Amino acid sequence: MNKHFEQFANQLLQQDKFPNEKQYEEYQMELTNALAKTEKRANLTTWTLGIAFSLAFIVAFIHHWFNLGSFVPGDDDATVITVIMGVFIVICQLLFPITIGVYFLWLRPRIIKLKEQLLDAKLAELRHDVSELRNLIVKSQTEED
Amino acid sequence: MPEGRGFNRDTVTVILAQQGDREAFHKLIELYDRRLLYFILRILGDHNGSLDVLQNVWLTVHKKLKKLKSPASFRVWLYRIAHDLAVTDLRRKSKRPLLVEDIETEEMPNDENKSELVFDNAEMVHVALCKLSVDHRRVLTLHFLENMTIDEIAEVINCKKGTVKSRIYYAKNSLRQQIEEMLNE
Repeated sequence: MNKHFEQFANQLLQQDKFPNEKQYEEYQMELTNALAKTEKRANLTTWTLGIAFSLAFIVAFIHHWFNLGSFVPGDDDATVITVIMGVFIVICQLLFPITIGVYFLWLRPRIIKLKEQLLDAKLAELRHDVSELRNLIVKSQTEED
Repeated sequence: MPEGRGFNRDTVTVILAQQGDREAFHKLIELYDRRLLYFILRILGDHNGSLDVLQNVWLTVHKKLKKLKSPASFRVWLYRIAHDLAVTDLRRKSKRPLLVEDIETEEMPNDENKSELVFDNAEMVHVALCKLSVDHRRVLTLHFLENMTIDEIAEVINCKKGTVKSRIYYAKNSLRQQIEEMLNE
């Protein structure tokens, strides 16, 4: 076989540099931090949804119970308070789809993905440990021979 | 480095390993282990996963070596096992990057001389390889590491000769493009 080719193939083999223990730890730390941050955001989103829903329900209930008047500014029985109540309910109703969308389309998939990545990273570290052990065994066997 | 054709020293080693010679089997491992790891790593992209697959490759080889009818074609047979196990692993992990569409056989212009000139720097080739698709990576890895013929590569990756030809052609073009971009940066 061509000597030049052989040399090239050998040089190519030298290029693979594998991660060390510290890099595995750093990667896991990054993933753990990202997961904690995303879980915090997911909690905040669910709380926002819950609070918005409860407040909208309470305001609508008060409005209906005391028969306070129309929410629409131009109507005869509309007051400043009923208009503010109306605006508040509209904002809360807008928040429902937004928070649900953010949670199910962004945060939940991200949490699942990060958990999978973390599991993969832990498995990778374990495999790394096993391969290190394998190398040690081979080394000690060679020394014994 | 093994020749792959003809009755050479490696074929004798394979025959000895088939007869149960442990030393011959160790020799085969020594000979191919790193290159197989490089090849598997180009498909999987994960070092530790590749080590697992590599171990399975050697286990499979150990189990099936006696059934190999033509010791001279050991190299292709070995890479075929490695390729199949790596692809299975890749599918299992569902992280399979998009493979390029099979481009049907076309007459490709001869670019052999040009590629040898461009692909001289192993370090650059290694970096540029990472940026190619899995299909391009695997044909080029076999080409650069083992200098396999079109027939042999077709047998390893289990597709038509024409497809291999066109993949090598397009892969070399992409690689050249990547290297040129790297040189311009």
